[in-house]
Amino acid sequence: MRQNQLSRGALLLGGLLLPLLGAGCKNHLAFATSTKFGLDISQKANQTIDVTMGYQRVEAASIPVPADADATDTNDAYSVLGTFHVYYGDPFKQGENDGLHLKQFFATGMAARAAAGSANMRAAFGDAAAAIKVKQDTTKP
Amino acid sequence: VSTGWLIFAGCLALLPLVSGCVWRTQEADHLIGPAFYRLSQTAPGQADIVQTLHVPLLLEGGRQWGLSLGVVKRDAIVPGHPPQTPQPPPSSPPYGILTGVEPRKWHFTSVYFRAPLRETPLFIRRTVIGTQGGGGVEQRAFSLGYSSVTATWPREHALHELEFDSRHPLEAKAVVTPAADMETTPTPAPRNQ
Repeated sequence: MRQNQLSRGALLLGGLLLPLLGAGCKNHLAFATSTKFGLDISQKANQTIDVTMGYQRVEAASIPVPADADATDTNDAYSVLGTFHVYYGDPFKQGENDGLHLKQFFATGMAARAAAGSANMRAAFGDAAAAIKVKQDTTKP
Repeated sequence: VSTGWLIFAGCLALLPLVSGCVWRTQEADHLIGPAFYRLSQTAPGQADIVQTLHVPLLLEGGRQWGLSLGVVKRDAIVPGHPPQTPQPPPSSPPYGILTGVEPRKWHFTSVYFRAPLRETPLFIRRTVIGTQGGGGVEQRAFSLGYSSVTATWPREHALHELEFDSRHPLEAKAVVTPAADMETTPTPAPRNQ
């Protein structure tokens, strides 16, 4: 009887995990953050399955490069120029420093090339990075 | 018939009443069954934000499918485009049966609500307290406990500006400027954090 229950449990868990194994992985440029507490089994594109038990916090960027395709003057192999700022506080409170604060300013592909070649854009990216640094310095305990 | 079976049959009969379903497509999220939702004020050049809250059971299909048990909160942000650049065609207005569509207010739908998406969301935040399992474009995961995941899917060859504060999700800012229009668009001024 107990063995039957275990088998059913294994079948149910297997059924839930099957999508993870079977789902196709498509190349996507993506940025992600995650906060998990408990049991988590997940998979991101081009990565192996990740199993977490307990607490985990992740900030990740996935920048795939096309296979056998070099950048040209009119096509780009996924240049990315950007600034990212992520700040976590208590997710269940509403205070000024609680919750998730996210600020992203970035350019991809030909836009990244254009931004890198523009003085205004370079200044904007520099100012964004400076603002993040100031914020980091002022929130340090 | 034992009491256990009666309770089980009763729970089974009540299941459709508490089960929320969502069918996700590229053009819209179709909410079928009980769900809470909130929409941002639509304005030209600004992001459209759709917040949904499902308790206690959620079945999903379409681009993202799975089963969740507990509290599932999802914020989806469709980016705006600078006014100087070509605008994507406007989406059809939101539509609901026996429910409201007034922006910035929480509404409850028990039958059907359609949240249109002008284009694929740039940013999605999904918070689950309970258990979930499923797969699709948003994530492939099984979790038990607390899980809060955000994902940003940048457009190719474009400049992106995204600001999100989970305490005020409807105030989020998301603007995408295609590379071809960068010269005609003023350089975004980074705001203080």
